[in-house]
Amino acid sequence: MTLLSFMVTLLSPEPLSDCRRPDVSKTTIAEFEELVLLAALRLGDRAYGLSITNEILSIAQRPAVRASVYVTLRRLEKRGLIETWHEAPEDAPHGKPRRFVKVLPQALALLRDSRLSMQRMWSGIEDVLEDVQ
Amino acid sequence: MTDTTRGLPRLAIAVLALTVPADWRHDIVRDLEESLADRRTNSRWFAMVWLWSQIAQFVMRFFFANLSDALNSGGVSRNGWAIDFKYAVRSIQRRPWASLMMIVTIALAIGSTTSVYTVVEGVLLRPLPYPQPEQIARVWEVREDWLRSPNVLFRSKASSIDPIAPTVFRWAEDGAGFKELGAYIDANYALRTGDGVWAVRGQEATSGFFRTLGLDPLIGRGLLESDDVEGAPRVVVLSESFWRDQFGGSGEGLGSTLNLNGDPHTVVGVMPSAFGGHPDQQSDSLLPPGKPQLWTPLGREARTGWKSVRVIGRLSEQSSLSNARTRLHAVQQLLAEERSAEDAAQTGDRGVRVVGLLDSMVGNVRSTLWFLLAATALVLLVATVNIANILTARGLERRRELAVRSALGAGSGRLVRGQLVESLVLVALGGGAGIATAWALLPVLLHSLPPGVPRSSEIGISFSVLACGLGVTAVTAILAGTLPALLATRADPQDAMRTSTRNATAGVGASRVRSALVAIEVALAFVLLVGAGLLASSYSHLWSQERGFDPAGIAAMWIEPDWDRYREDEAYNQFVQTLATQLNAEPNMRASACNNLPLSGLSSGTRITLEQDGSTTTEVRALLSVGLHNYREIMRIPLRQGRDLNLRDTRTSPFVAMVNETMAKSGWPNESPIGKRIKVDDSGWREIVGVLADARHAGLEHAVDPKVYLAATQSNRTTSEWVLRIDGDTATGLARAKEILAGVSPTSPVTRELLLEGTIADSVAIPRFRTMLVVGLAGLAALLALLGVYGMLTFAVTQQRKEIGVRIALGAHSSQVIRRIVATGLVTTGIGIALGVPIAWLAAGSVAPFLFRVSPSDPTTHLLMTGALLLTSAVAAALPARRAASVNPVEVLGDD
Repeated sequence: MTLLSFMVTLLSPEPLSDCRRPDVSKTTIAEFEELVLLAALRLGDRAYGLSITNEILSIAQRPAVRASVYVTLRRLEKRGLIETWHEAPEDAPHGKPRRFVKVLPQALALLRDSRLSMQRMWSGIEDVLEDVQ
Repeated sequence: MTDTTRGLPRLAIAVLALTVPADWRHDIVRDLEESLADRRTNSRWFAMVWLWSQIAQFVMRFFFANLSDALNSGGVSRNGWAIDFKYAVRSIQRRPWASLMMIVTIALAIGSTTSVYTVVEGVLLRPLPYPQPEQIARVWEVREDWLRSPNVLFRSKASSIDPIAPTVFRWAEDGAGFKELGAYIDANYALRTGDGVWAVRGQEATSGFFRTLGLDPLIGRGLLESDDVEGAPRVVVLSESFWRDQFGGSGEGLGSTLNLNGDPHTVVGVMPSAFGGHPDQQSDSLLPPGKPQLWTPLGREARTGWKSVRVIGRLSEQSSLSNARTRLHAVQQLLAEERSAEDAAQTGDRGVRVVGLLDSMVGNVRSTLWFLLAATALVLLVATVNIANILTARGLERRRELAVRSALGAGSGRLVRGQLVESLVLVALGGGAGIATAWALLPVLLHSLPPGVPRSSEIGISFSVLACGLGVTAVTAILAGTLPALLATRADPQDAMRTSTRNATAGVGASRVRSALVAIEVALAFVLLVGAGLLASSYSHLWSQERGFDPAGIAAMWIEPDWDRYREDEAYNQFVQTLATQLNAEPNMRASACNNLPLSGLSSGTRITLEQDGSTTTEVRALLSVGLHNYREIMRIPLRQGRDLNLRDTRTSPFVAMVNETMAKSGWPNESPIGKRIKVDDSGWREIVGVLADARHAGLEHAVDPKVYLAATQSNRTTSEWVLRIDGDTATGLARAKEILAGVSPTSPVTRELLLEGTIADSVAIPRFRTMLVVGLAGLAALLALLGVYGMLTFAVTQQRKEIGVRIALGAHSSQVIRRIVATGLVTTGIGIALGVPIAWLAAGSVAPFLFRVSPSDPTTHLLMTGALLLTSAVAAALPARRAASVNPVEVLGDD
């Protein structure tokens, strides 16, 4: 068995695990990732770690831990969903460059998918939700 | 504000660097600096707290992100876990001492934390075995005037006075925020059967007693309101175990009669054995040990009169403790208005105190147990730091190995996972040993618990805390175990190889982190050591307090006289005289009847009128001790002035008294009380004939109250305690005394007995327990800290072998090498102590309430502990230092 899987690994262009099950993490985005991406889109060319944290806090009214935002940004960049670059902003208090964030088209596609599936799930249950309220 | 422009502390950036990759670190630092600048304008202190909580979050989140990235990265085959496991076991075997040290550390930390927390949970946190126990409260009256009394005894009793039965029935009529109110007293019954007379422990209770506790009888009925009526038929409710003993538990027995205290009682019900029937375990010490076996109606005789009873109540749903207190106060006001002026003078101004039942039971051990738990938490912290230390050292040692494997193509996932598995294996082994330690430790701990600790019989090991302890150590082990591997995978392999090949100090930063960890361990251990030192010195002060009498060889027994026979004073006096004569006829025994033996937990205070200058009088409260003429001689209380009581002090001779020195000084300052007169209990004048040394009464830690000694022949107080001075074995002597009593009066059972030395030891059992445990924990912490020092230096010596070899080759003497290594150890310990001093100073407040005649900032203790730590750490440093001195330069330099 070990030998067999070893040979398969050698022959296979992708790692073994990827052959067996599709990696869900590549085709969907987690809720917090979605929040970060949406915040970045809303902020446009003023999107960076601190402003994204504040945007989630003020618009979504969710407590966002700064460290989580940064970890998520790094992960999104690794997945090729955002692009970051350093630039010194004009109003920089210390004159040091910031890392700005730009949402890439792949992310937009995922966000669109996510919104669509959510809308489908939401449709038809408005009555129920009103009852609950 | 110049502050606002300052950047992040260097330490913060260094800590961030542990897990946050460099390219993101700069952005995060910038972001934090900006926010910090805003916050600093408000408060520097809060800004720093905020900053460090942010740093901790960044470090943790990036750590787990890195870990998950590494584990998901390539090169991880499915059965890799098994290989990693084998590899981990081999690696643990290869470093047996370091591994053992870590396993022992985890085991001790988990074992001690679990067992101490188990006791805390069992005594303080576990709910009582009644339905909705939080609704049950204990109620006392408060004597406002006693709260201001100069006497220790009155002050200590002022806020826990049991009200008299009629008061409780009035409270119950009003409801006073309670759904049910019950009253009870512990009572002692003489059970007459065909085989003889037995002392049985029981309780007199009102019908509300069982209802308050929410308990239903097993068979038959409990006590009913009709039983509360004066002169109601005599009934009795039995405990399940007593019922089984008496009637074989066959459902029979209901309706039959038991002869209790000479009267027939009808058995009407049986309470289930789960019911202790004894919510207040600080019970009368006059009773036979064990749980109550039967209950008789209290209201039958005590509905009117002056009998004090204990009160419990079940709060109604809408009520609360404070609500009940307010309503009871109102009822008290009404009662006060109804009272006659004469009664009011005697009862004083009475408030109420309402306390949850559990609180009322555990009140006196609560602070001790929390204190011990805090001490245990400190030990866990020291252990955690130690684990981090050992694992960091391991990781550093492995940098070369990891670099080689990485260079040979091992994915970072493999490397990190290997370390993770190894850490987990160590934690599992340590945890297993820890559980075993807890199992072994708990019985020892329970055995050494002071006798007064409530519910100690119900204590079993707590698995929640076991899991918690394991969790803490596991997280530490995972962090400390995988961090070096994560660092290694980020490092440049070439660089790592080069560092290792040079074999020089493995990264100045890393060794600094290790020294800092060891210093923290030393600091925490120092705090515990100072606490232990203070407690030990306090305990020795307490124990060496002057007792004022000689407890060695003293036994005492309490007799329940057969009142049918001795109802008349004449008959009772005759009984006392006969018994005294027969006991004193024994060759090894001197005996005296008495009341309120010192340190036995019993006392009675009374009003004493002092005659001053022949005309004016003052009134004081004093303790009263009544005994036969030889009482003082038996107790060996030194006579300071005047004469002892003697056989010529009889009912017909002039009444006399002796006083203790405290009474003499407070009543007649600067003159001798001999020849002065006092009145006790409004009886006639008595002349003071002697002054005795102060004998401790309330406890070794309490000041001595004024005390008056009377001859039993000249007092109408009951003296049913017997104090015996026995030459030879006290227990044997006591048994002989009981035989003699059985001969004189077979129907008067002994209800309690004690050996005074043991009682004194018990009276300081809580401080002793506290001291013992903290000393043990401090020793453990110190041991762990010293292991830290030892481990740190051993590692340093291994890393610097080449450097040391060069020094020796260049002519360094071995003593110079030793001195250098020992100095490193001492400096680290010194830094730890310097860190510990302010912490100990801050923690002084928590230990202060437990100290007796020792200041929490006692310089001797601090110096002693500093010395001890420095000395032992020098010893711990000497071992690796000797190893360093024995380095052979030829061998070391030839290695490459």
